[in-house]
Amino acid sequence: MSRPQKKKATAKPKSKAKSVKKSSGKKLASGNKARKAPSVKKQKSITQEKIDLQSRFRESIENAIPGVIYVYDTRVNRNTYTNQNFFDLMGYTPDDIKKMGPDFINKLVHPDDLPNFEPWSNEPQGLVKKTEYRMLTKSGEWKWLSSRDTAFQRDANGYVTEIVGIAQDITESKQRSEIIRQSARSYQDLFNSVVEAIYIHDHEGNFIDVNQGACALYGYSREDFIGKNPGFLSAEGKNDFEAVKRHIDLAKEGAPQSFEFWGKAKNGRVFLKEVHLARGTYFGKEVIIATARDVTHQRKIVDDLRESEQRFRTLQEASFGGIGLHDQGVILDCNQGLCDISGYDYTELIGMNGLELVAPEWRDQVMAKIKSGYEKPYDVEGIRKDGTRYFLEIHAKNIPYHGRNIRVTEFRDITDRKKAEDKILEQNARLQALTDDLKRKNEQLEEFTQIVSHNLRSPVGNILTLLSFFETAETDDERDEYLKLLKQAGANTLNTLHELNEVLKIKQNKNIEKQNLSFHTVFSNVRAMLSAQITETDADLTSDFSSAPTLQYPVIYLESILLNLLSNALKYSSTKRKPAIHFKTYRDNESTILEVQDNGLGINLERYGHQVFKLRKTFHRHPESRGIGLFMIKNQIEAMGGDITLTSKEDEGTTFFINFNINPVDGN
Amino acid sequence: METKAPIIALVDDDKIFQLTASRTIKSTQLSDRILQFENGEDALNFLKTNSGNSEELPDYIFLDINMPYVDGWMFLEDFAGLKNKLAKNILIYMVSSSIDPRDVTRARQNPEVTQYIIKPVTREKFIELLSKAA
Repeated sequence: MSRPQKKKATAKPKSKAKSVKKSSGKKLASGNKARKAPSVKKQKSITQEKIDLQSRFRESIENAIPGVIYVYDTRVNRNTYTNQNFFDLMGYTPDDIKKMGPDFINKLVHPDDLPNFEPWSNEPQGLVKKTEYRMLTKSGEWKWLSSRDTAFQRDANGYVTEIVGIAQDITESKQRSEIIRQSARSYQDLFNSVVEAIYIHDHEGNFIDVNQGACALYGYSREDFIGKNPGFLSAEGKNDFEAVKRHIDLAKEGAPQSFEFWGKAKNGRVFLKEVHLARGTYFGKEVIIATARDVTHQRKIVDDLRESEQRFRTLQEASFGGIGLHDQGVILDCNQGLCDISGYDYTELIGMNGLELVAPEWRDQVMAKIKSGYEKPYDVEGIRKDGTRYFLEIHAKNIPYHGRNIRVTEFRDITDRKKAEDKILEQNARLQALTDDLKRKNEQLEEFTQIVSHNLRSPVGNILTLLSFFETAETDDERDEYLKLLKQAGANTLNTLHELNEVLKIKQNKNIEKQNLSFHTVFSNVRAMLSAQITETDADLTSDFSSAPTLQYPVIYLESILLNLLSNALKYSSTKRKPAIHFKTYRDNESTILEVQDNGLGINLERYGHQVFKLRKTFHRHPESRGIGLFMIKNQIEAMGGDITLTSKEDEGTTFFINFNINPVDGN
Repeated sequence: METKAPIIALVDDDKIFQLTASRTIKSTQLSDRILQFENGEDALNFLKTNSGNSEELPDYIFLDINMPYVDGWMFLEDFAGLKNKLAKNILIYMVSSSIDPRDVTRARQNPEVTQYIIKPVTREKFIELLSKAA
């Protein structure tokens, strides 16, 4: 490197200079002849033949030698001789070289390699200098040459003036070693880029090399490993070294080995790794190659999975119900319970569409639940292999299973429960009806007690008081007055008794004859009875019985109901507006409903709601309010199994609703 | 006596009771100032109109349960909201022919009711009731 370019240049041309003189490819270099000509001439006549012989011999030798032979003049830095091989090797003609001039070597040698040439001085005889360098061929490629030069001529002081050298083409071997070098590097890169840990052991088990994966796994540097025995990597007490040794021995014999090894990293972390051992070579050396990978996590997953699967299987078999795993309906697995419930055997169920276990009319619903991922229990009807049906409770959940998201479904035959439930429901309904009936009867009874208490005791009490007044009266006038009052009280009492009698008759007369009545006909009669009031109030009276035109009912009751409701509506109409009263009927389920709507005074239901239908209750200061109408029709309606309710708003109007058949227990 | 004579209100739709009761009270000589109302509404209206006038307000109210329009119970509800505005402390006797235990209990539980009396009411009973201080 530090050597001046000039010198290098000088060194080279020596050998090549000679070749310049060669005139033709095969023939011996003419230069030689020329150079030696003077001396040859002297002897030519005598020894011409001998010389020719020698010359031919030399030429033959020179050309037979596998390499470039050259002579180089170190004083003038040029080649004085080159054999034919140079031209063959590099592809130049002697003319090409001539054109390049005497220092053609400098032009052909790769500039980077020029410093490789050492200059000559007074080296001892026999010293050989080896140089490797690249030279440009005529076709533009670089050839690697290896030269061996030795001193040939010296000056008086013993300094080398001419050297002779042989150059050999080493391009191929250079390329080979480059390939080797690159492959070694590729190997190293590969070695280190593998995530798995790789360890190279010698046959004693010591580390020759480890990759970065190994370093990363343990947290030690490569240097920490080299030359050491793997013992320091073991988690104390967790590995069977006898077994490890057997694996190593077997691997040495050529049988690949796999086993698990508990490692302990530099930071103390203990982990499980899976180790593979194989025999191999490492840069020519017989070694054991170990690869390892941390399987702690995988092991845990596998353990967990195994455990959960075990648990799952146990549960499945222990369950009284049927359990099926399915993917969009297709059964993947099931337990014995499902076989028992459905009547299919296991092999039939696997792969079968689970929807076939459900009665056809329920399948859409079940599929919808599957699709929506519904996870609450629900009841459907199941169908067995033999076509019989049963009540089925389905309870499903989406779960991950063998890497898929599938649905685990529990099937429960709830026929018994359903029967019991139905029975309870039925009994409940019956009890409820009975209770309601009793409650109603009780209420009616209480109401009756109330009537007796208020409406009957009162006039009788008055009579007794008046009698005592009568007894103590001092004048005839007084006595006359009390007598008059007594008569009045007696009449009131009789009247009340009469009303009560009516109610009793209604209550007892449940089997009163019913007829098929036309609402329209009865309404027309009632309308006629109240025509005077209708005219007087100028009421707008409308009706629509088209939705429910007829009713099986006692005629006097229906007449009484319509009469009372219409007369009430007329009586309590508002003076602020023209009365509008609308009667209509319709059906609601099994019931016939009568609706009577007015735009009259209305009732403050919050205040008077509790006594609307009570005897002798009135809510308006109307001379004809007697508080008897609603009471009577309520009794009639209830006796026939119906009920009467109302909505009302003060100064807006009232609507009565009569449901004729709400309580079929009564009246039928 | 005349100046101290209590004012008595009879609230009852029963005209015969009105007559016999007022005559009985008068015969006791305990009071001759008797106000008569046919229903609760009329009585309430009177109390509201005369709320500040202790000369006109009754000392005793004999209240029937069963009346049209505003009955005894409804009267009591409204009275409870009204009594703080009244210039007089009024004793209320509930007077009814009802022997229904539900009526009796309900009247006893109402703080406005001093006593529940079952009709008919004798002269002696009136004397006893009217001698109670308001």
